[in-house]
Amino acid sequence: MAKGEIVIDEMYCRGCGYCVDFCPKNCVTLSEDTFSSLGYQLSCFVNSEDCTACGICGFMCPHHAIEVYKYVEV
Amino acid sequence: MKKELVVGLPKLWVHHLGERLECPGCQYPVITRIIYDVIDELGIEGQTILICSAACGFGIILTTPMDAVGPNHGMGIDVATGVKRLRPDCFVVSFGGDGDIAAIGAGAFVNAAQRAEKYTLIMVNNGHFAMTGGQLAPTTLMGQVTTTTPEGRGPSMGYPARMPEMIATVQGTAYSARGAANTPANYMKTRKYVKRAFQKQLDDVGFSFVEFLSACPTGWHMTPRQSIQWIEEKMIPALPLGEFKNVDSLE
Amino acid sequence: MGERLFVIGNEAIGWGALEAGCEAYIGYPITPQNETTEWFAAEFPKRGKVFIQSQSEVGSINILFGAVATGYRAMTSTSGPGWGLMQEGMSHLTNGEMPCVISLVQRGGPGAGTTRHGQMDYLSAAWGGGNGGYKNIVLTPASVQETYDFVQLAFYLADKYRNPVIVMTDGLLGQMAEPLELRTFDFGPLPKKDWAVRGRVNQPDGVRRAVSAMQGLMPTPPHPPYIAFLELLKVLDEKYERMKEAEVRYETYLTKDADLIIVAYGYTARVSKESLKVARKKGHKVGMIRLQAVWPFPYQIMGDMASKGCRFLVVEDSLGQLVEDVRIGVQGKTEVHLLGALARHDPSDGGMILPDSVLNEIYRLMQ
Repeated sequence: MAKGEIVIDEMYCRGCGYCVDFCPKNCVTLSEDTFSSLGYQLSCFVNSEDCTACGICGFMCPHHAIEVYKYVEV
Repeated sequence: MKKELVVGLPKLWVHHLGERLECPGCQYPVITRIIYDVIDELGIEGQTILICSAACGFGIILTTPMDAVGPNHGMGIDVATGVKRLRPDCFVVSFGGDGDIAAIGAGAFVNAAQRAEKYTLIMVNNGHFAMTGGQLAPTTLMGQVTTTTPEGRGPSMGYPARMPEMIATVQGTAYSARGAANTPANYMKTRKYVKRAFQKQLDDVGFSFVEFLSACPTGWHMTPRQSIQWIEEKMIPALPLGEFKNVDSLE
Repeated sequence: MGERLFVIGNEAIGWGALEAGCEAYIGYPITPQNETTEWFAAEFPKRGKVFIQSQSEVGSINILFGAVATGYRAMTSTSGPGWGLMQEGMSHLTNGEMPCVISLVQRGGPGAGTTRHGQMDYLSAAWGGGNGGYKNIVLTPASVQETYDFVQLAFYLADKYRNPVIVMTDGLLGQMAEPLELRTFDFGPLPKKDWAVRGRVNQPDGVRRAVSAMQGLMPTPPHPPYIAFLELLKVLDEKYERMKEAEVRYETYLTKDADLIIVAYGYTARVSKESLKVARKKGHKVGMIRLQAVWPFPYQIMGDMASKGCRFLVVEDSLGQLVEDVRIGVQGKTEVHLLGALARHDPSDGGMILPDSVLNEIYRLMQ
């Protein structure tokens, strides 16, 4: 059951791959075929069911391009 | 179900034309995030004056919503001294690179600590002069190739400078530590170091200093992943992480 | 009439700064201006003001940058080799438009030169010794009283134009004791320092301020407003023109009927005045222009005098620095002679240009 989700800002993602390396649940991958307007490979959110909203990809991203959201009961 | 933001753009952030133009994988903005987050957590944003010396780190002046002074290369330490002495009620953070603090500003650095200037200095160490194209810095590792050590740094070019260890021996220093963000755990530790350093200033103890090991994939001619590995395998053994001084009184 | 003191020139700098509301002094020991640093060390902390002895003159000028960035009045003082070290900072202070005062007590050079008097920093002060080409107002007093007055004026001009101002004396004026009357001036209103950093909560409009020594390189919103390099150059140029228009300062003495005009500043101006009085008694038509500011330079009056056919004698304790500016002023219309450091009465560092030498030169030129 997904506990959260992430949103990647395609304008600022530089495809450095830190989010891919540091995600403990392998929820992020570098896209093979989508590129940012500056020509960088984009990160994309996969295996969304496994996301625990731990926030690691967010604070390890040097370009502040990832927003991490946690699902909370209302 | 409601969505709650866990991590996003740091809360203290000014949108601007020149923001977020760092090279892919550069970790300067990571330490920027730590500084902003800790300032936000301590609730001292309104009293903060940020000093950012010339080099890659100057970009911080563009995104901070806090009062800022942007002096030239190597001037950040002395300028912070001037600001803090005239505004002791303000919270002063000086932000510079390794060339800035270990090379041209080394004299100012040692003497600011000697005089126990009560502000916090953050040194971002990427092992070379990144903005000018990757020349040898005092912190360059043995064997590291830079544009001015094409064969790798050898003993004829001296040995890497260990600034936090050095400044820990000065009586005026209240806090000295070295952190990195090569793993999420180290990120969290660095955040703790920065917070403790800030607390030393708030408690008016003495000079506080944190070094941050930052990846520079562009300057090191590596992929971001390789540069994180380089920090782990080469930099941390030569420049060990941890706290080197943490005192509550200088006496 | 204000309180009267008997003090040396270096201490008068301190009294002037105190009167002007200077809040911080940063200094580093160097002869012959140590009395200034010592005066501030004794008088400032007990008044709750800031005194810092820095690790070098590079440190002094950079700490000064930080100090004035907060909007307070602050100053430093130096001499000879220390002035050389400060050049980088002078260039950055001018780029950052930082209002501050630097007292320069000249000594002999080049290099370590001598620890005694000299007038050998003229070019680096008046023409700008740092990188990039910049202009600072340079006030040149010739007595202890005038030193005191000009330090106050310097703080006013610095705030008026948001530019560093140099008060340039020399080792003799600095070490010489004279009566000093403590007095206050009303120079006029000043613009508010709304650009200063003081923490965002302390800003009246709640908007953050950024002060930078790299103006023109990167726009740092909302202050300063320079979007591009040329914007900065335009602003600086306009400011320099305003200064040239309004801040030319000199004193003329018996120039109306003069055939020979002596041009001097500082201690050589006082020496020359003695000689001039003697020469006048002997019937020689000699006059004098004493410079009270060497930048902006009074080119106009030099040109006017040259057009009337006056000849010029420049008396300065160097190998010829001020004489270059006088030559520019007279534009080749007349002769410009130099009585320089080689006319000192003694070969040691205590040698001075004495009234005798000036008088002999006047007689030689009037033959």
